[in-house]
Amino acid sequence: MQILLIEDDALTADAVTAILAAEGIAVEWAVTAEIGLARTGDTAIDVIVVDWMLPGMSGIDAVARLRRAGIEKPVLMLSALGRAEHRVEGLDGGVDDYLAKPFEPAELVARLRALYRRTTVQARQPVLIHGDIELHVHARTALRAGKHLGLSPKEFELLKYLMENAGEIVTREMLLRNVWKLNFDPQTNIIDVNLVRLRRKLEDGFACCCLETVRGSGYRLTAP
Amino acid sequence: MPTHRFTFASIAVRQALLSTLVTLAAMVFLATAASFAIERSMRADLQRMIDADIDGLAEIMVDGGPAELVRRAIDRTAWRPSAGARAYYGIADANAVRRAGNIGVPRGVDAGRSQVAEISLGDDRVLLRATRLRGGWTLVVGRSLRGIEALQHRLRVDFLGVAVVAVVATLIAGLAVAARLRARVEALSQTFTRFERGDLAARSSIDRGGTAGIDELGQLARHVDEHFDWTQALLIAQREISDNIAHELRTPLVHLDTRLLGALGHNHDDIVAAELHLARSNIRSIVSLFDALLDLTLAETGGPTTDTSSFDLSEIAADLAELYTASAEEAALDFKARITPGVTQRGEAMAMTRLIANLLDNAFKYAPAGSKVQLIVVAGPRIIVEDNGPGIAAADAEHIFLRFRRAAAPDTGHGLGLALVKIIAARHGLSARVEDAGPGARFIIERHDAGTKGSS
Repeated sequence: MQILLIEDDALTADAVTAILAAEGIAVEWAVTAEIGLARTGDTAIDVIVVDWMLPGMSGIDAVARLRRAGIEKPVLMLSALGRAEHRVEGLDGGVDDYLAKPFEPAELVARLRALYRRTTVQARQPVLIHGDIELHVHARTALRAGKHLGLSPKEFELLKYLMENAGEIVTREMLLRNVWKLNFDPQTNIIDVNLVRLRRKLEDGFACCCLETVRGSGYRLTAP
Repeated sequence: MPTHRFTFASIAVRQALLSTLVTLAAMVFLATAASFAIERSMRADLQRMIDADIDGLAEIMVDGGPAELVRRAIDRTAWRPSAGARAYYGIADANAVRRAGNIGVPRGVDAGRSQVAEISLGDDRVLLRATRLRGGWTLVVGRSLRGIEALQHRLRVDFLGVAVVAVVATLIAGLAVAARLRARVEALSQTFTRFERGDLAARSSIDRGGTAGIDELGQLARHVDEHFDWTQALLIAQREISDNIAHELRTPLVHLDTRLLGALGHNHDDIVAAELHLARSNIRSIVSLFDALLDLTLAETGGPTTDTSSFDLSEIAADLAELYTASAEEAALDFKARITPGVTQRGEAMAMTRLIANLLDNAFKYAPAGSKVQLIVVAGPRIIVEDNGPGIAAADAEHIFLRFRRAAAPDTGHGLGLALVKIIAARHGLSARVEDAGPGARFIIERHDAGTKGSS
């Protein structure tokens, strides 16, 4: 995976580059939106990471120009503006995901991988299979080793999202936004307890675990 | 904002109708005054004619005696004018025997005092004077009032015609002016509506009165535009300032966090690592507090929500109830949701989601294990979150929605959740209050007028 990073702050750019390099992800850095836009046509670029407040053209304006030009590459906005209102404005403005600074390195990596996968994996498969777990999207049923899992509608959505991102870290914020459609973080541990409940349904009666808690980051559906 | 239809509710239409009524009243007053004046003048003329006639006949009586008087009276009675008032004469001798004329001496009319009277004669009304002549003879001279009545009738018909034309013309002109006025006011009103809904570029494009806006509405439109310019500049400045502060405050914190991350990467001491993690956690707490304060301040200064789209509040509440059910089990709380299906609300769905989530967070945070927590959503809308936990001391109840106020218990949160609840409620035309659930606390979100109307 190759990332185009449009970021005017050198320290942040260095940190992002180092975090992604450790994961084997190549980063090309552009210090302004104008320079970045000139490179977006490069077919080697898989995902664009852009800051909001840039000197000259803002990140949100750059994304608008990108979309007007018909470039549909996934964009992650990495911004110091972290209020819910900014997230909504960013997503409405054409970015695919929004991560506020300061961020957890694992969260950045997880989001980029999720965006990258969206461009490469058939996301609309009627049946998702991960190990012995089967998820029938249209019938809205889930099975493990042929045994029916009695999931609520939200638990079904939760498992579906985890299976679409199987093997990758999925953060709490990603779950809040993509499963519960919330753009704010409730103060209580509701995501954790819902994951515990899902894990119970997934793992009860089976010897091996499949839903791993990645401490301080989120969750990962591992090979059962 | 309600739109004035072209009805009696419109000031302009009322003004047009009032002008028409005033015109009508003026016409009626003018017609009445003219009728009285003409009648008075014509009656005076008739009276003068009668008196002149009496004067002449009295001289004839003196010069020619009763025979001549009778002869002249017969002549005059026979003469019928083609125009003007018909004449009536009556002559009676000293024995009150009628000797000539087409009228007798009416009863009750005192000829000795030359009395004037108005009597009915057949279908005619007659103004007459009876007078005593030499030798005790009585002379009665009268004139028909029909001419005056005919003239008055003609006058009324003519005035009615003029009045109809004047009233219709006034009404048409008034309604035309009202329509133009209404269109200009409507345009101004729509400008406010667009601006309130977030179109900061909205300006009054109304007709400024044709003379560079010197009429009252033109001046008002100019003031409105100037006010909108000013408000737009303030809103943009507010947004830029808050964004810049957020950016400038976060950037050094991001740098600090990056350096702490770098230090963590090079560190092999568990104690140092724990301190570094704690420092990073503190940074997140500062950022989170700062965002919560900004959310609160911007929501507070934002006024009523500009989003008028309708959303299903019941669906939002049901989703949240499902989300929090697992938390309730974990915290050993008996959580129940009683949600009436199909309750809708206009405004910002995400903000109302946050309102309910904050109320549930608050209840879950303070209710000890084993407590009951209930979420109720009914038509109105009325949202209730109640628990049978420790409740809120009466002294704290009135301050509970203020920022940084919280019960002296958990150390989580910034103490801004309930303040945001109150602001979000206010932005949606709802009130937020807390009452004693005996035991526990009951938070109620409902319409401001729900208490007075008994709405649920």
